[in-house]
Amino acid sequence: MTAPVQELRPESPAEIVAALGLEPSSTLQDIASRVAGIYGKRLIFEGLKEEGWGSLTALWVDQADQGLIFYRQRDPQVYRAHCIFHEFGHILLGHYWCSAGQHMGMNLWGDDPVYARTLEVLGDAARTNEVEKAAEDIAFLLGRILHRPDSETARFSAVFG
Amino acid sequence: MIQLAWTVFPILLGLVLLLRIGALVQERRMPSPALVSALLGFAALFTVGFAVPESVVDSWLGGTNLLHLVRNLLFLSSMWFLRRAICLVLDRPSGRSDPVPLLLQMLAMAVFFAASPRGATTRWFIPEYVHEPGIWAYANVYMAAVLWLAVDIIRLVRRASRPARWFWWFSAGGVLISAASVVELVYMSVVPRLGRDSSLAQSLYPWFTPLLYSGIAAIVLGLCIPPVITLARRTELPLRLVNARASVACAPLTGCRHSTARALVSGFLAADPRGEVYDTMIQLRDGTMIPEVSLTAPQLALLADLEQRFPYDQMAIAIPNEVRPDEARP
Repeated sequence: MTAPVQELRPESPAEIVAALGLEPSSTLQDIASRVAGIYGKRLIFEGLKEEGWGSLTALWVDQADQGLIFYRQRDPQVYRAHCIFHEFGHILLGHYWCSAGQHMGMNLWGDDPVYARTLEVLGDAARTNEVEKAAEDIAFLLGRILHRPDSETARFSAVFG
Repeated sequence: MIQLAWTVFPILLGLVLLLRIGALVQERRMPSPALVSALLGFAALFTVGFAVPESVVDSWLGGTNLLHLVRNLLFLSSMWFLRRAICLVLDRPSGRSDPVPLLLQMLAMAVFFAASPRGATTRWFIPEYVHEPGIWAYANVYMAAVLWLAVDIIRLVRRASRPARWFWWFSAGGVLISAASVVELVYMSVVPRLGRDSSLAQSLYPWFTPLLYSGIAAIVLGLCIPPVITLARRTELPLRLVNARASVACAPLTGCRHSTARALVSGFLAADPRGEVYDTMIQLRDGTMIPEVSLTAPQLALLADLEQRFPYDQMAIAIPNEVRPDEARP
């Protein structure tokens, strides 16, 4: 008699991204839907038009009933998506790593936890901050999925090529 | 020119088929409908005297023009599989995957053909035997089936979005084959009434072969181009070149020639050059916003170049306003 196989909890960024079960042709909307499904709350996306955010490129405010994700409107499109993916990384790490994520307090949102992608933190992350590094790794992995050739081209190659 | 095309096309198709079958065996996959279509088309080519004279092949089958039926069944099946392949690419699950209508048409052709008297092998089978009701019915069912498939291929291609540039060859082939079918159908309705020597029949008949075979040639090109493009794409040469350039531009400026050469080679031979190019682009963009980092002119030029290459799909990168947890696809 064999022991029941227990489902392994994804731990590394690669395992966490694989657990999303994304198709090679996934869009940003598809990825956001999967993340929201794991998060269990709706996600609201808001572009910040004002200048003066310095090295802060995106942030996630974890409210009781929803998550707010802010990104900078003036950034190039692909970079904006990458910074959003970094915040998705925090959401997924918060789920799988049991709130192991560090967050920065910001009075603007009261007591709601705020997670931000700032370039200073990222610069230190490689050496000291395991959570920031993992969130950035998840962002790179999601970016690689998003920027695969489109599905129709891939299907054409599979059938005709 | 026609003789040259007649030699080049089968050889080209044969080479591509060898390439594809080799890949199939290596990857242990089932053949795709496109490959089945090409294989059936290639087999059909051997029934028109490409490698062995038509009379010799027909003599193996009894020398009673049975080769005519075999060729037409192969051609019809080839077109059906081509249409199936196009449907798969366009993700159109429909009745087009049902082989029953095709099989019924093929059965009708075979019954009409078998029921008719036939003599020794001839290259002019239809003009010589179209007065026989069975052969007339057989040829009409065949040409109607070809017309049905060719028109359907044109309709499918018209609705295609991005791969239309490759499908254009199938569409062109469909138009030419449809025209050939219409010419043949009109010819077969004229001959029983006016005779095969009438001026109308005489003016129609020469059009059939050039239209049909130029249509087939267009489809053969359409089947041959994608594997070549896929092969070129798999090598990802442009991406490898830009990744090699990125690896050099972003390598620490040590002044050591060895490290530059190594960065160049590792960038070129990267397992996932597309992913590495993406990573470099993001890191460079980060670098533009960190006061302590000053990017060099080649690095800034590289960033501008890399940002031109993304995104591949504008629609895929659109940021939604709101996403709910229940929107996730299963």
